[in-house]
Amino acid sequence: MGFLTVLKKMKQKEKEMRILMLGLDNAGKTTILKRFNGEKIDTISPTLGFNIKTLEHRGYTLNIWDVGGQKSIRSYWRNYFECTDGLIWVVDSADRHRLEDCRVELHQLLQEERLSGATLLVFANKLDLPGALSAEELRDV
Amino acid sequence: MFMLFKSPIMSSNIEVCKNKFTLVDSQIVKDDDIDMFSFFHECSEESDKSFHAVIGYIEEIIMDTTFVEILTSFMEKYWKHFDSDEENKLIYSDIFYSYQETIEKYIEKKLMEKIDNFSMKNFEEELIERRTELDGEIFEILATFSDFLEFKEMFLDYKRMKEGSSIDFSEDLLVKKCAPDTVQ
Repeated sequence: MGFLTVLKKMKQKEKEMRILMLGLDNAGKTTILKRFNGEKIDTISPTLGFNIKTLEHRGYTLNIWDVGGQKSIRSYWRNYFECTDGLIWVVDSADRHRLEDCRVELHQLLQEERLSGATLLVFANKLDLPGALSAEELRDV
Repeated sequence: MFMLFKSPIMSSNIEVCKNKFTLVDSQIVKDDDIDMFSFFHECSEESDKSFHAVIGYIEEIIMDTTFVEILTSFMEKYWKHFDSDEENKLIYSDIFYSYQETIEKYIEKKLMEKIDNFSMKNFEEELIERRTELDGEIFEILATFSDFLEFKEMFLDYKRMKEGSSIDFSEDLLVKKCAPDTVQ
């Protein structure tokens, strides 16, 4: 971390936050982001890189970073840990086959020192699909 | 005698510059102690001076044509990776880190040429201590160097400039095979 990063941190407004959104591929991260931002969600394809959106909410400026979740690019996630205030872990509640995968990936993230100061939110997505686990069942996983 | 809390010696805290010391039993301050006040005051002014000197040098460095040349050659090297799609490629992040590093290394090198014993680490600590004073154009400019979206926009501008400057004739030319009887 160089002096520019230090300076940026010092100049960051009190009500400005950097939120990192991660999760397995097809969990719905980009859809959540676009929906929050009031954009159309009918033509979303798998994210190969990353998206950034800035949202204003209750006087807070949220810079949300959504990084693709495909297995081949998960190793790039660590490039986005720096300065993260909040982590949103998105889970496809109906994808029972990959729940174990999902658990392992999240636990790996929680070991990360650079994320240790960040607040975690587990977002149970797709609860409306048949066969989806309830939020309580997910918590037990 | 009196006691000072928060030992102000050499500290650059703005509170100290204003001489807001907390005194205990200030009634028995003697003449000698008044001198100590001015001594502390000079110390904090000294660190004020050196901090502002560094900022002044940084201003000179980034206004210099060499700095502009460095940025231009950096963009020249990487602009082809960029396109205006909303989704960002992973490689943008690598280029972004290398961009910040290039700028930081260059500024550091130049500062070390200008100031004896310049230490980036001390300077970073100063920035943290003076977080409430970092207003002004120079800090705004420096902050843009670590703003990803500004960085992407800069590359897209450069790309538009590059692509606009080389005229593409491909759409203005029509190559057609002529029937034999028309060529005479």
